[in-house]
Amino acid sequence: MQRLATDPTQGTKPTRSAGFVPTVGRFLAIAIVAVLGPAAADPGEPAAVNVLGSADFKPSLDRPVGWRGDWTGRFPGATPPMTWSRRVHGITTALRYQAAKPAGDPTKDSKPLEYFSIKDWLVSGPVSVSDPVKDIDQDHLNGEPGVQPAEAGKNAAGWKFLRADVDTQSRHDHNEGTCGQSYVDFVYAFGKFTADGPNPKIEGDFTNKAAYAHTYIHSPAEVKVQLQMPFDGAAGKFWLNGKPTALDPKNRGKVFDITLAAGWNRLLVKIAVANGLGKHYSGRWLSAWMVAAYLTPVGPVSYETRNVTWMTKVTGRSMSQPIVVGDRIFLGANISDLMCLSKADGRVLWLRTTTPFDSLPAVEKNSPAIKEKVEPLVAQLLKLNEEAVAAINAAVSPTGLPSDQAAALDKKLKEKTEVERKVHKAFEDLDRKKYPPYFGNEVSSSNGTPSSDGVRVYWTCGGGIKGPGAYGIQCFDLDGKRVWTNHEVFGSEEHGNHQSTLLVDGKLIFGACNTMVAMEPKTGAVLWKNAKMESLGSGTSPIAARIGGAGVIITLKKILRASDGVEICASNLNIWGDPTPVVDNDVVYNTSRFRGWDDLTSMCAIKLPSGTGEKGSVKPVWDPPGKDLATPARGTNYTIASPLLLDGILYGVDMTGGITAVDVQGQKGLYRRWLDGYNRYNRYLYGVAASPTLAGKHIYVVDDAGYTHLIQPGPQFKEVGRNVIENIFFSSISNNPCRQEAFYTAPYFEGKAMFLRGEEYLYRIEERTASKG
Amino acid sequence: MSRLAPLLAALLLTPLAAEEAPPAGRLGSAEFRPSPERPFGWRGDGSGRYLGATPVTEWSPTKNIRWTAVVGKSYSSPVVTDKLVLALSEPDLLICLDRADGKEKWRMKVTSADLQDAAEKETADQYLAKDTGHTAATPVTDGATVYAAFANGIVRAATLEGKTKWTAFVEARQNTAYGRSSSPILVAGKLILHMTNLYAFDPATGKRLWVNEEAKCQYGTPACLRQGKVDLIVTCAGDVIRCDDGKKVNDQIGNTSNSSPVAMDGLIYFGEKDVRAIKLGAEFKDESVWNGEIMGDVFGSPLLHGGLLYTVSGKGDLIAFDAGKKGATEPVIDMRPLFGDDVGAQPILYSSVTLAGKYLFVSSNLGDIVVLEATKEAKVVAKNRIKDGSGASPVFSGRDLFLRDGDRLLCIGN
Repeated sequence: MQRLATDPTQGTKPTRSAGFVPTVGRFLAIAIVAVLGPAAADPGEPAAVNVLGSADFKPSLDRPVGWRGDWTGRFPGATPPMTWSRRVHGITTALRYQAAKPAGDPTKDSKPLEYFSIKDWLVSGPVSVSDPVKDIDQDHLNGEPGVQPAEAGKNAAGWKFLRADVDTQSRHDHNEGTCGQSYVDFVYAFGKFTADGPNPKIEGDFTNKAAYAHTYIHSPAEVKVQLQMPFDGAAGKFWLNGKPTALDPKNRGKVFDITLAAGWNRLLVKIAVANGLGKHYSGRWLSAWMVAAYLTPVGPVSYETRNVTWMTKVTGRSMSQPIVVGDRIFLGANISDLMCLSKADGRVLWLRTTTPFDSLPAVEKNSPAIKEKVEPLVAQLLKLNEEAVAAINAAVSPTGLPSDQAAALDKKLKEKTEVERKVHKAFEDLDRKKYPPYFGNEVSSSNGTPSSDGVRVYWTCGGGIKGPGAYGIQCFDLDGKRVWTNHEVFGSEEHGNHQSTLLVDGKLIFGACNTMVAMEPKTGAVLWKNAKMESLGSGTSPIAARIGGAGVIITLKKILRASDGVEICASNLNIWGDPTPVVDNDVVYNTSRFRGWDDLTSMCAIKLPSGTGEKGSVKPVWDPPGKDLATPARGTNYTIASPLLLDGILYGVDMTGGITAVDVQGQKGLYRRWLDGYNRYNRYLYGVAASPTLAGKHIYVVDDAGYTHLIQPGPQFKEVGRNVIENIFFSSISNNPCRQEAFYTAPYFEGKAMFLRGEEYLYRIEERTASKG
Repeated sequence: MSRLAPLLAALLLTPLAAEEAPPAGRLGSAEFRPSPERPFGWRGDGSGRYLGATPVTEWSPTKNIRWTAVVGKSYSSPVVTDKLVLALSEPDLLICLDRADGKEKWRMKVTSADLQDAAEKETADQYLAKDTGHTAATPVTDGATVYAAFANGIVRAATLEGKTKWTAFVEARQNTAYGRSSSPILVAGKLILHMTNLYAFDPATGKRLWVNEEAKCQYGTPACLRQGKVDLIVTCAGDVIRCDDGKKVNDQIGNTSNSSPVAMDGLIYFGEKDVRAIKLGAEFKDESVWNGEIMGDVFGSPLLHGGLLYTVSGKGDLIAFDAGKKGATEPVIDMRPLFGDDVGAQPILYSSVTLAGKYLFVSSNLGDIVVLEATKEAKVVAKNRIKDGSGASPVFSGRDLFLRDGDRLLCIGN
């Protein structure tokens, strides 16, 4: 894999200070001091047994759990497995591919399909054409059907190796960029870069050109599979074992049913372009000369798993992270479902769907309009919820449902969702300004992570269609009894709202758009509201810190007193994207510091004010330019994942899977590079959105394709494991090219178990024997 | 819908987009001349209806292309007078073409050098366009002056002879993620611009008359209507603002983000996920007349014609609602793919469905243009292809169809 030329990994050791104690001591300090926790614990309190991540950790009002565990992403007490998998049972798991001309059977250099992608190619070109469409049938290889290329061999075409990965994409812009797939990017292959960063320069002739890519695929038997070759260009054509097929420029995601022969197969593809450089309106160039390849199984699909104890179908797509409280797991799903699962066996213990009906006082519930228009639908929804729980529980297993059986469960959940939408529409018909529907939020309306004080669980859902934005803020006891529900209309940001609740100083905090509210956890009574937040952003959740013993709330743009919600000062974090900062020893860290479109997104740290008076100010601790610290990018990168601060090193991951480690005391970049992942970096898939998370001794980074990279903490990059969950589901709305389940959420860890949430399932992962299904 | 209904409604609620103009002055006719009372801007008069147009429905590189002019790229649509075509081009160009032959008559660069205030100049220079570029807002002309707003905050008024009349600046920080695209409109003697906040300028001098900071912009262009003697502006976020003093009289009457509301026949139509027809009553109180729902993203604005409200999704699916219904209603055309069933993950259509004569024109970003009958059946009449396409909406005048195609502007007609 090609590394960044600017990778500064030179073995620099992080500098420690009083604020950064040795690892074990630091974990104890986290447990005791609970910097992010709502109240400063007594430093003399024995704490070793109550380390987050340990099996005996017990949340309390003083040490609640919620977003990223305790809002840090650190589970030092956990001992999760380092290997697990869920793979398609069948041919795609047995296929191998390689760029080099094979000399016999597959070798260790032959790659298995990961995420169904072919990533190793030989490329040849460019060749000039008069008309890229008409000339697609011109043979530039003196025998296209029979070509069997070897790298830099005797073939005049001059084949060269290319691994299609994030670091071989010429642009990384997340909206209209060219990093949406593991493309063979011919602009990268044949162009000359003079700089990385937001505006890399490119030299080369990309007008009226054609180029080839070739790979060898080994199949143990003659089999039918499906081939997808999404491409950008004027025309395309592929040859499988010499047989030509035209690619369809009107249907670039077309699925081709193909038959692979037993043994080695040859896949050649040619893409012709009129102009290989597209142009962004900002003036930036983009590659418009690319092709990717995926081989997926013909359904129905079954799976085999390793170290998956159980997997439980969730009721719908969401970014909500699971939390563990005692023997139960809580997570949001679908529009407004809070699910409670048994930690031991994955069965759904209860499912609660929140609509405005749940916030109505009794007198309003008895009004004729509600009785007539809403109550029957709510009753229907409750019944369907019961049926959904029964259907989900019947399907809990270590391997999950085969694809054909999954469709029946999807249908049941869809039926439930449709009734839920009807409830919202009924409320909207009654008063559309007071009750804008909860559904319609980007990704889902259940993206918030629940929080708990060990006695109750708190959660918000809603957001709805951008603009109006209503929310259900709710509290349940651990057995599912609804304690209270508040309905608030705070509005919704352009990309929806994904923030989680926060517990601080005995108050429950939530906010969206311009408004932040503090509630009494037991009753939901509003303690204060601040309606001058300017913007709380889409994804940046509030976090807590302490100043002189008093709780404060750090938000996207402002810092408030927890006691009364009064603004202390601006936070001046300049957060770009959706990360939630982390705080340690009065210093707040942001790994996505916006510096303008022409500069690299960097990092920064600010020191909290010394007091909680209204005219405080933060002080920049460090705010270096991006040239040393920036996450790698060719284009405007974007960050959703939140930072991880560990032993004086700040780790950040952006949507491309660009990982950066910085010595926070020395203000020095330790390394920056891309993960060798499979994330799809586009506006519908979010690339790497899950935050890097410490569990035991390793950092877990999950990408949207279901790959989890295990990184060894320290000043040098070291990947010590990589694991995959494959799950093709045919009702996918994720826009993954192979209908692979998407993963947006960091895992939660407890004891030996890891709880990983995808769009479709919650997986309990721990050491066990293999299963087939 | 009864033919009398709009006339009766017009007595109470008169949209400024005057539909009942004499045929010669009908929008879309070759003789139509913009005036302060009947300006030509975003979607012509905001409705997307060029009733007086008689365009061809089929063309090819060798058939019915009257002229081609290289003008550069932009998401904005051109605007036309009886003699001229005015178009913006990235990043800072205002270009005037002769409508007869496409020859360039003049062009002007609109840059921060024209700003007097150093702070304004610095702010404009620091603006870095994102996805929608600098020129996504369609200019507007009153027949003597053309007004153009650039995403960096610069507002330019120029005579149709190419002389600068004035230059103003909007310093507000961008509040939308992908750039700025809301077009300026001329309403009741004021130039209205929705750029973060809602601004009114004196068209003659460029003097700022008022600003409403409550009514935040999205991407759509405001609509205007007159209720009694009060001229109103309705934003895509559903704010209702009085034109004379900029005061808000209602809010949340509807909600769109990408698309623009349409005011016509006494109602205001919003056409994105929540499709809704709104009637304003006494003291501007809103009443929902009917509503529907569209699954999926919509970028283009709706079109009301023949009792149907049409729009097209970002994936190119045609949707139409019966505009004569009451309450919650289902579409009469429900997500009919115009460009194939599998168009990929990315949106393929940013433009708005447009009526020319008796046909609907729908143009994709990729250069495919579908022509349909403007009826409940929406039968496909023709499919055409241009080289590159664009996200801009088509514009019609007489027999001419003006269409952006990559960096070119095509005049299609016979």
